[in-house]
Amino acid sequence: MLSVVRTAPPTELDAATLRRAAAGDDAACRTLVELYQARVFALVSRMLARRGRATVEDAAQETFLQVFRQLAKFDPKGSARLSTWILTIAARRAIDELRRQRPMLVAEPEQIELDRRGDERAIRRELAQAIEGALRDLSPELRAAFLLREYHDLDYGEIASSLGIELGTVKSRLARARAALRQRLAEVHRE
Amino acid sequence: MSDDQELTTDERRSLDAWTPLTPSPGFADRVLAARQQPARRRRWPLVAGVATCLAAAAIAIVLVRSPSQPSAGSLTATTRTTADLGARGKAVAEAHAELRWHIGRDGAASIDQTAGDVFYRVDPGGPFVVHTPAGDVRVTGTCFRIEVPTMNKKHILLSGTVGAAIAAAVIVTVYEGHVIADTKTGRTELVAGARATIGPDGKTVVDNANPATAAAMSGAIVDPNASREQLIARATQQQLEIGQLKSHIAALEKSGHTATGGGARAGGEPDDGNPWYDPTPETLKRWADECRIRVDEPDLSSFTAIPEGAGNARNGVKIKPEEVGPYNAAMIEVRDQWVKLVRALYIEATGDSAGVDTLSIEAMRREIEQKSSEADGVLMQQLARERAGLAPVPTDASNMSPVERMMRAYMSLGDKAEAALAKRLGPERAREIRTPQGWSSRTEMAGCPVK
Repeated sequence: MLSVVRTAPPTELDAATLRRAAAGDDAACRTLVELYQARVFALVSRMLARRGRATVEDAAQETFLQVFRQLAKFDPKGSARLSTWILTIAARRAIDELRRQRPMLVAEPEQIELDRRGDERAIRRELAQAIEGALRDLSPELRAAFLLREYHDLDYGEIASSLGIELGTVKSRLARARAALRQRLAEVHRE
Repeated sequence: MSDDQELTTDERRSLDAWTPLTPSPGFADRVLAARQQPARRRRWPLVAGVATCLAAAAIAIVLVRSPSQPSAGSLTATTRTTADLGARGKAVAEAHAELRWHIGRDGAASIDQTAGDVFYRVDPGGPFVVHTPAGDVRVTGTCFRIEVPTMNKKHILLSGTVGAAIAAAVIVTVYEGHVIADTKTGRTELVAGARATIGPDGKTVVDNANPATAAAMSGAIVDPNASREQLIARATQQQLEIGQLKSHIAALEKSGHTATGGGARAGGEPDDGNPWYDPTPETLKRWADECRIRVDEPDLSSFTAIPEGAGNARNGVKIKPEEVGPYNAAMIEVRDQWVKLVRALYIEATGDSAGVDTLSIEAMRREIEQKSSEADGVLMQQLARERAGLAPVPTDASNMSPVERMMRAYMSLGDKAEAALAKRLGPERAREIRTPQGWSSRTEMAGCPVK
């Protein structure tokens, strides 16, 4: 059996630090980056799978730079959590990158390492490839929608508004994406 | 499997198999540094790329390419090895040094040096931070050296990798400019001539044995009441250290380590009047003695197709909108041949058929080189002699090692790219696009067998 640990619900930046970050305070900005960087990397690296760490790092960095440029406009009392807002920026940044139609480049060493550590790792690798393969055919927006839903626990409404897609479209297309994913996973389990 | 819209618990568990990338060390530093950087015009052309040692102590490589590409890499040096840190400079790593680097699009450089002795020459262009086990070293335009003592491997394993690494002190020597040692105990500015030890507790101790030298080299005014004897002693010391520095820089430059930028030529050799990739017979004969060769290619490993319908510059030459399709097709044709060959050679050299689906071309190239059993410099000597017409070019490749076949194919990439382009745009235009300076990625290698 695979040993899987679901991540705990993500924490959010406290209001005081958020205010200081919006005012440009270095320490607060650092705290913000350190708190959200793993989530941004998780989203961006899956969005930009096989495009190499440099591309992912750049997209993540540009995400945070945009966050800092617009942070003063973020309303902490609004409906969106800061994490949702940041992930939305990250998703849009990754979508832009995908639309540039750059060729796929490399697999990352971290992923390569997984290949050589026994059967369980091999199964995980196959699963990972199946998931990535299922998402590869989706449009950038729907890929983002799937990742935001399944990996970052955003609800349909948040996804629809953040990506500018109709709520019904999000639901129906995600259902199709899940069906494709199920098919791929079933193939892995059959082998 | 469920037919419900939402994923089942098991399906959700499967999703975790797709492991994402995590931020590299210093990511937050780079973001904060970039936040304070105004938008910067990129220089063009400049020196960048990666230079590696082809498994030989005597081999040096200079690779020149477009600077606007972000770059990243890692190195575990088995002998003195030079790495080009994108457009940000060079690192000369001594044997056993370990480092990883990432140069962002904005030029911000982040280097993790976990072990060994590395000399850095930094070009201007944004933050430059070296992360060591004892603290960070931040730099602005300078030459400096960092030594991270290498722990006994067995000891590291027994005591825990991180703990053992942190237990070591780090030594920083500054040759030019300023650096800041930034540790958990505070920041210490180090000027040219300074040598500092950063302890495992983060405390930075500056070696004040030669404070006059340090001050003089950084342009500061020294004690105006110094005696004649003191001034003579100081001047003698300065001359000694300047001499050592000059020797060091000359040695690096002799090995082809000098960054060049802005000129028409790039690489360790001066212009001989011919195109960069096609030196005169006299030059080739001299290079045969030095076991020196040049390779230019259109940076196929990171080739990005020009969007259809839009003219664009490649290799410093404007590609007309109607040439975009043929240009892309030519480059993709040669790239695909190259990728196919490297994959086949990788499997032959390593037996790892699974790796070809996951490893980058550059990673496979390195693996092939590392598997090479050729003696240091022998292949380079042979290739240089063939190019000079001093040795016959073999017609049968069946007995060649994978690394030799790879090197021969690599050396022909520039011509192949030009030929593929000539088929589509005509020979004159193809030659024009290649330019007398060669394709955008230019590599010069030199190194004879160690006697």
